Amino acid sequence: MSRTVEVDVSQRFGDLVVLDRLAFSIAENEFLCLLGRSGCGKTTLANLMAGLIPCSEGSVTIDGVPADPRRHELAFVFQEPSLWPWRTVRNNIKIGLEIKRVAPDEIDRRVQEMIELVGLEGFEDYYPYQISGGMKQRVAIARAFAVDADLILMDEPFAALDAQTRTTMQAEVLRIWEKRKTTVVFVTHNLEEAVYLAERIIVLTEKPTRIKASLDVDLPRPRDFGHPRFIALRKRLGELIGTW
Amino acid sequence: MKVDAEVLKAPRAAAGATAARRGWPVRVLFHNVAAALAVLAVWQAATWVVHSVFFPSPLQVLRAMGDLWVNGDVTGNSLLTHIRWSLLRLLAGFSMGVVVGVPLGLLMGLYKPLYTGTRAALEPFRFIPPIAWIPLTIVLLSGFSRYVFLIWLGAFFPIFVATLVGVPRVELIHKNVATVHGAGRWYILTRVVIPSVLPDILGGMRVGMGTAWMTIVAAEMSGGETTGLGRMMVNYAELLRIPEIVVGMILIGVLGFLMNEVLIRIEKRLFRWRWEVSL
Repeated sequence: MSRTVEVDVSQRFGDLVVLDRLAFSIAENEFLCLLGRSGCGKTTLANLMAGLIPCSEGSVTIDGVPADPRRHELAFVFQEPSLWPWRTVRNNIKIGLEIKRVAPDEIDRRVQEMIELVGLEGFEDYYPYQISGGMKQRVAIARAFAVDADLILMDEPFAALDAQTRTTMQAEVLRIWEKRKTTVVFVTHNLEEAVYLAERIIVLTEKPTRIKASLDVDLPRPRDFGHPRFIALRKRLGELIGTW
Repeated sequence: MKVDAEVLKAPRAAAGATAARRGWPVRVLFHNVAAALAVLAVWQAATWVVHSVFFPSPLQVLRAMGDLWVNGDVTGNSLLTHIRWSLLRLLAGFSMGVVVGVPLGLLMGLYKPLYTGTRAALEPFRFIPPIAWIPLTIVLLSGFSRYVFLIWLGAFFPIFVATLVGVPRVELIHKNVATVHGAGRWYILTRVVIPSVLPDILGGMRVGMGTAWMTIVAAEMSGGETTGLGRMMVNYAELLRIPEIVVGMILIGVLGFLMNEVLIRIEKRLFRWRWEVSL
């Protein structure tokens, strides 16, 4: 059975219309990128889908049931540092499992699995202040994939990283996604990142935000930034969104 | 798996810092003993200069301390009895300050209307020094309850205010992590809010401990029970016996210092996850 995520929302903050009847669906295990300029309401959309803010109109449903953090397994990878500084790497990864009251030995097993998957062996008992920015984001990703998520939202998770680390992390997140098979919605303003990661890209307009285009990306993986079709697609996205 | 090079350095540096923080290395201990001896030397020198019967030397004070310990004071209470009562009152009042101050600070920090709606009724009490309550409590309360109430007053506000101002510093993103995974209020309170505010609470407790000592001595001096270091000092002041008074002063200083050290140890243990900034 497929777990389809249906989004159909409008969002207003006072008189400001941020999202204007935005409707799309995400198939099970799909890797979807939401692409838009800075300030176009991408973060609002992601927060709304995760239930962090209530939407003014419409709904987000998973298999027809309104998305609810208590019933569904949702996860979020934030752009800003989101690890709890008072917890070690291991104890940060288990937050989602702990909240859902998973049995302790099952938590240990899954945390260990995730630590190996993101390559943090030997750093289990480190505190966030002792590890680099890239490793912190690895922990945040491990935390998101540790729960068997119905939907993982990633809001520009690599925006604060340097270029090399960013490239490594993009490959990493794909590797983990292919292994864990989860539905991922990845928000970004970076064209290359979208083309490199996504199976499908939804291009958003400026506020009030609507869907400008939806593009399937059928390039073979691993994708090559220099491939002519990669470049052509990137160019097409640039035209859709306007240069910046 | 590729791991950034600078990361591999971090654990070793961190391990070194932890070792330095743990306990007192011999060198630090030596410095502190030397500093204490220097203070004694200055004191001794001052007694030669002043040369008055009302200015006792360290040796006279030490002798007085031994005498008080072995034979007890003029009222027949031994030094240990005085110390024990002062500590008992202090800990009882201080614990109540924590038990009331922390939950109230959390509650008012989390539900702002509760604070903004009552601050005009609450805040003026903060500016009435605990000592100013002594006359009223002499009339209304007696014995142990009076001391505990006064110490509670002294310890409560620093702890309450530190907790209150700590709550807004809880980072929204840390709370959001829990919310996304479906956490309830209790989980967010115990796993996000309290760990975030704990450093502020401990800071407030250290300030509160200082106020508590200030209050206990004043309260004991104001009369009532026959025990307590403050009481003992007043008894000897009436007899113009200065060495015994100084014994009381020194004990208050040393006991306060030791209790503060205990709190610092607790802080270091609890907050291993924090950077320590030094210049």
